[in-house]
Amino acid sequence: MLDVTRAFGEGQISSHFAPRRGRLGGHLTESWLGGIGLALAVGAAYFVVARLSLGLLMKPDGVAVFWPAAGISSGVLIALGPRARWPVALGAVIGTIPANLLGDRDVWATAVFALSNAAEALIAAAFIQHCFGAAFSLNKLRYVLGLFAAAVLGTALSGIGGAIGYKLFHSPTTPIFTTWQHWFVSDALGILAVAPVLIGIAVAAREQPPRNELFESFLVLALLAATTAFIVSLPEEPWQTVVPAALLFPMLLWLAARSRPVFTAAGAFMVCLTIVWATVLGIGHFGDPTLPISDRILQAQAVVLIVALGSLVLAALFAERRECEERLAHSNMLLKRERDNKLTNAQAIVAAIGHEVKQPLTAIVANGEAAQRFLKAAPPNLEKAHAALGRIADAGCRAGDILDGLRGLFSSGAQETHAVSVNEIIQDTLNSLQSEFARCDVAVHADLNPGLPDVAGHASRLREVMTNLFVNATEAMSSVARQNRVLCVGTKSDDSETVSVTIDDSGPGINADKLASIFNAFVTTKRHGMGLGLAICRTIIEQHGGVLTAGSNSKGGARFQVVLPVVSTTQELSS
Amino acid sequence: MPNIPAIAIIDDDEFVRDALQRLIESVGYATMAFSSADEFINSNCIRDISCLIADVQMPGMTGFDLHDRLIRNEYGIPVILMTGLPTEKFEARARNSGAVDLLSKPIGIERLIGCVEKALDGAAKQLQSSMT
Repeated sequence: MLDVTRAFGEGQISSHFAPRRGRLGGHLTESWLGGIGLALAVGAAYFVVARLSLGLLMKPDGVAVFWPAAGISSGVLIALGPRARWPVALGAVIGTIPANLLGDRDVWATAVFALSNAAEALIAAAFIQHCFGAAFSLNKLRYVLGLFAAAVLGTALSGIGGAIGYKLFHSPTTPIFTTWQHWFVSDALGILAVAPVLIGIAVAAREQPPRNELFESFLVLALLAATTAFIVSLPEEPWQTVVPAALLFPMLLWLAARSRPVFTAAGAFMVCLTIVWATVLGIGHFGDPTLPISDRILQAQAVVLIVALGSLVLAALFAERRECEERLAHSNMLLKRERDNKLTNAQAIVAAIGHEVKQPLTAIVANGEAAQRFLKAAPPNLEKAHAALGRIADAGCRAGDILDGLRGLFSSGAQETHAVSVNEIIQDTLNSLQSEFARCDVAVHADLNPGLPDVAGHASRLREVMTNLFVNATEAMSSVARQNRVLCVGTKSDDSETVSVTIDDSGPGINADKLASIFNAFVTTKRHGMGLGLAICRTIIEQHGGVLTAGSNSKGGARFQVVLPVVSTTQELSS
Repeated sequence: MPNIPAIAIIDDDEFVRDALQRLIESVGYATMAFSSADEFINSNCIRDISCLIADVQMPGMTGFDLHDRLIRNEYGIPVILMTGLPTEKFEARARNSGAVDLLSKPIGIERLIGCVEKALDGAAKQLQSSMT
């Protein structure tokens, strides 16, 4: 009956789980200076990695077998968001130009490659931003598949430019499709191996992993690096095809299962880089000189694809699983809290009923005993015995009324409602409490709007609510000086659909921290009693389709407001 | 000391107040009834009261508060408390504060009269010892 669930809204959950927009991108790109700095940094990294990759040139077309530089530009751009667009594109251009000119390419080829490389990052990042927004991470399977699609799209398109550039300015004899194919594969693998690490670092900068996770992850990464180096340097043996998978997989699985995706991405990157290196430099299994270089490269590329994609998918699935577990635990906690609250409310209601019914019972028992004594006396005092018996009957009726009222209150079935006048109810209630107000020196000001439309409801229940609110107000003012106790009741109808009642007292008001919970059972501003009254009042008003709210008035006292829907024409006809 | 001991009954419920008053009178004591602790304190008849029966749950000052206040002001009136919500917490508080008893509503006459007699006896003994 109480509104417990609304206090812990969806908002809390979503703000907890939703990724926040990156601050990093904002810092680096908000000024020209930052933009130029970013362009130079990307350019320098692109240049260094491109030079290393160009050392891995493959005959006959001269396209590098693995192009991690593509991962640097795409990864930085995806991680920092659209505002880093032009600095990163510029960085790709200024990194490509010297790297190519220092090799065997001429100015025209270099220019075409520079533009193709810049376009590649722009296309891949634009695709990601279009599909997933600016705050991208790799903690969901669809994000990983999205990155895969972005890598394919960006490199397939930039490969067209690159292949044309090759045909025109560098190597006219090589089939254009072969060049495109090599460009596509090496760049796409470069993006898949490198970009996730950069994206993950940006995510980790926004939400720092706890220290024990960092420690464990770096430990496993170090172990993975050592194992990878060991495997690659092993001499060629037939079991060499099985051992790497058997040794490396557990560690990648460990990272995926227990750390956030950035660590898995870093692990996969390390493995990929080592394999490519071993392949090109002719080390160990991947550098087996008995196989033609083209076969070795294909084998390395296949392994890189499987390791990178497999690890990322695994990491994303585990991240999704962890998030689901967290959500489940959270909703379980909410559910438990709600159930506890319901139990507490039930106990409170039972106690309240007991308390209410015990008053007339006390009167019945005491009057009964008194009547017996008056009758037993010599001579019997018949007049007093008669009075006592009369009071027994009265108290019995009152107990019945209390139980009827409670039963009506908690029965959910649609009971007949009538068009009732709120003003009349208030006036009746004020009249019935007149002696109470006089006893407590409470001055009552009623400002009841005469043109008020009727509301559909139960007069007796609404009277119960008004009685409760007026008595509460009176009790709240017991701590202020007698001449300052003022109760103001106002009614008005702001629109044709609702009637509102405002009850102001001149008491000390309600603490801000208690306002939210004041309608919960057991919460009370009173020094005695259980505070069940307000919980029941709100239930009654809500059963009438209305709202009961608490707040403060301009004089520091408490203000309670009841808003009730007016009786509609159809209801009026039926009643 | 008045000839017939006067017993004050404080309860915010009019039915209970009226019934207890009638019952106590049927036993032969004089009674005074008040609807709140404040009303009792402001009534200027504290000195005439030999015993007090007060409800615990009342608006404004509770029965416990009233008892504490009487002790603070060194009025040696024995206090019998009653409640419709008997809890262990209340019972412990009543015991510790030196109330004659905490009666659970509805109240049986034997126990009530027993309490009143015990209270009046105690008050009389206290009076005797202070006089000698």
